[in-house]
Amino acid sequence: MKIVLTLLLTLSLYADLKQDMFNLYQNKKYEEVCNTGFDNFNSFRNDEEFVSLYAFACLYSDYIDRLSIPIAMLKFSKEARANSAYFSIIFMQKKLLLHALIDHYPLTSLDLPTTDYVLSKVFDLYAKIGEHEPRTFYLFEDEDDKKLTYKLYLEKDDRLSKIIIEEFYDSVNIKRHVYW
Amino acid sequence: MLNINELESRWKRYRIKSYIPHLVIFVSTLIIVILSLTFFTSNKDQVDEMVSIKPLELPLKKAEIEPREKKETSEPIVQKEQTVEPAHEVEKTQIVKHVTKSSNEKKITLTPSLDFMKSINRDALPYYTQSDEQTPSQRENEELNENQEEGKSNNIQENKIQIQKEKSETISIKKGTTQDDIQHVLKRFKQNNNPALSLFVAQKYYDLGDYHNSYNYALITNEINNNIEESWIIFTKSLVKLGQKDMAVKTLKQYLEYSNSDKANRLLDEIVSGKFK
Repeated sequence: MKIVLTLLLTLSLYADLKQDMFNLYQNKKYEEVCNTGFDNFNSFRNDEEFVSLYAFACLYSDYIDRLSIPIAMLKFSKEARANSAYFSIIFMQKKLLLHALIDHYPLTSLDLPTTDYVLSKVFDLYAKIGEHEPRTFYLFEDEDDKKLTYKLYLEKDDRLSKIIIEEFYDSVNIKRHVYW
Repeated sequence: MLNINELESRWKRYRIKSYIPHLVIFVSTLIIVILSLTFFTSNKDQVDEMVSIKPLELPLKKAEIEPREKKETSEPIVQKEQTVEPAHEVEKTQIVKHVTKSSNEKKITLTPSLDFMKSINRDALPYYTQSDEQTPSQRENEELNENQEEGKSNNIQENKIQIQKEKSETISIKKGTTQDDIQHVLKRFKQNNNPALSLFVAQKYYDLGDYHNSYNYALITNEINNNIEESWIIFTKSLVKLGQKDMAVKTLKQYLEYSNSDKANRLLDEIVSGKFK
């Protein structure tokens, strides 16, 4: 009896946490969802829905490095594999862009798939420039919406340099993404 | 005296041992045959793939191949075979180049798959589907249609008069019905997805007593922007009117968790106390 009760209690708690995370996600509180998922990841690591929700929340709150574990975990369903591929492309593009901006690694020869995520768009636009002298910042115009522009630059620190992507709509700053 | 039993058993063992080399040879040939068959079939698939790509270059190939064939007809058959083979190789390399070119032109775009959210969203409220019962707005629509049909014959005459009038008058203001307003706003809403418009539609439907549609449009408004107080209020009011009091209370409580709306608080009290039915 005790075992059944404990099982029921854990099941309800489990469902509640996932539902709470989903409600927060729908309210666009991505960072909160990402942190909750991060804290409870070990208990739910076999639930692909939970892992996917956590990964998308981390993606939209610019915690790209946290995608590494979901990339490895999402493999059992077709949907999970598609999402894993989607995350891995963004993850790789972030790493390559960081390498290119800091160490001037050429990206021209690379022909990677792309995604609808802002980092992928900026990566493609940066790769299109070809070999060039390093600049303090780069300004790119969105290929689909000419009013939308992206400013790419490095925020240098003693130990860690961060990629900054600022989105401008009609010259108004609408979003700032930080990746490191 | 000879031990016949032992001799027989030895003889049997000898016979079995004599079969082993034959068996080994048979199994190994079988494996070789299976392996070679699978290898050839996989090669065939590759050839098929190449063939399927070929039609893309047909116009070019015809032009390239035709002169070659004309030249080759004057040469002996043996030489013909030798010259044909490199031509195929050229074709193959051309195909590979073509594929790489096209991959450069069009990048593969990966899209996320968000179907898993549907299964998580088990508590989400579904849209009301139109039942056989007619809603007040539908009734109004039908009445409008009937009136339009009746008035068609009259309209022709009226139109003639209107045209004459329009010539003399410069400005004419027409007052539309509520249903027309809703249709007009819905058209605009489909174009720009503005939550203010869907909220207006929800309010209008609620005023008309069409609680199914007011619920649906309030839900749409909430999906676009979940911080519009009025939308939540229409949504819960519609739920109460549709006889889903418990769901209305639950929804309103959820909304109150992240907003301190006095209006929503008052409505919750009224619903719980039974003042609002």
